[in-house]
Amino acid sequence: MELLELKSVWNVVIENTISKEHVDEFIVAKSIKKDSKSLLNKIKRVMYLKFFLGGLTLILCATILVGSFIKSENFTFYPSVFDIIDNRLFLVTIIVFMALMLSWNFKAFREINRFETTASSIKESLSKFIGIMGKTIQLNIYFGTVFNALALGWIFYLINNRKGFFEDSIEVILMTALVTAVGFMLSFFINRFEQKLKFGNYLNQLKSNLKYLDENKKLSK
Amino acid sequence: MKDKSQLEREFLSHIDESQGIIHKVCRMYCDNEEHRKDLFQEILIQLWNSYASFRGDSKFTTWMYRVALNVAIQDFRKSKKKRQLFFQTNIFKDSSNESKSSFQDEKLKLMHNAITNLNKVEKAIVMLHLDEKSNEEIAEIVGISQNYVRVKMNRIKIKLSKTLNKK
Repeated sequence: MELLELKSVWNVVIENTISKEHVDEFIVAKSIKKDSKSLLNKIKRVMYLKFFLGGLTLILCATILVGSFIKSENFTFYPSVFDIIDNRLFLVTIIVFMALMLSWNFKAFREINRFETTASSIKESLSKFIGIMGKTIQLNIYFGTVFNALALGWIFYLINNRKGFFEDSIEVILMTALVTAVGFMLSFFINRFEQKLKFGNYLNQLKSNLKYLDENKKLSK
Repeated sequence: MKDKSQLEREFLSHIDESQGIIHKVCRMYCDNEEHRKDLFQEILIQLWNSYASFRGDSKFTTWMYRVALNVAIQDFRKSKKKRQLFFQTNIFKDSSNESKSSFQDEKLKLMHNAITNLNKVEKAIVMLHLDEKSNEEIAEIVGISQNYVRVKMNRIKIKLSKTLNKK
């Protein structure tokens, strides 16, 4: 079988498909209103959830923080463990984390939207797509890591402060920092492994496709 | 500035004329009926999402190929469900001539085997070539030089003929 024969078989298959499976305008109109099942759309859906939950947390924490300056007795939580300074420090940590998470996610979200609404060549699109996926994966790894590390640090502080484990604040700070750092490292490796498991093969396949097209540079030299 | 309903009408009529392109891409990249339907739907959505950015700098079909092939190449499918290869779709079975039908089926199997061995970008190039696109247009869609399209096509031909002649 030669390429010409392949072409004739291909043409028969295509003609048959087009004649049997022609989709009318009504169905096309319905289809374009459906939600996309693409990977980028799935990522965007997770982002919507992050915007909602993160935004809500940010507003709540900012309100409590402002409230703690106006009427501290009404806005102090866990008074048996946290004093007012602990409270404020905890709130500031969450506010800074959420603000950074939201702004980075928003940037990534806009980039995905821009990408989805432009039609570039296969090579350009592959390169942009790999870039976006790379950034999204980094974002997931680092924010997951920081979130887990902070949570571990605060839980450690909460448990040990309640028990009266530490005698002076330097020791508290050092031990909490150590737990946070260990939590950071552990969480980083776990998150990275998880992301590799999820997207590793897929991304490698895309990269090899891009590399296949990048041989262009070698040829032009 | 066109309003949304006007844009939609225009888009639908374009799709009605050129939906063969989407069928071709789906045939080339999918190995089962379900995947083909999903990809068809996904391509339609992406075409509509990016339709507003189509300014007519290139031909509508070139633009359509770009979007459709990008969706197919970037398609992310985790689990490969039970494969129903596209040569099993009985497209020749309704022929009155049984022997002709099995002969065509055999050819279809060969074609499928040959195409399966190509990577996603090679599939795009060979599909455009089978569709008799000029090297200039292929270069525009893929984003490489015309010279390189020729080089790639020659390599693909060698690869294909190795697979086809094995049988």
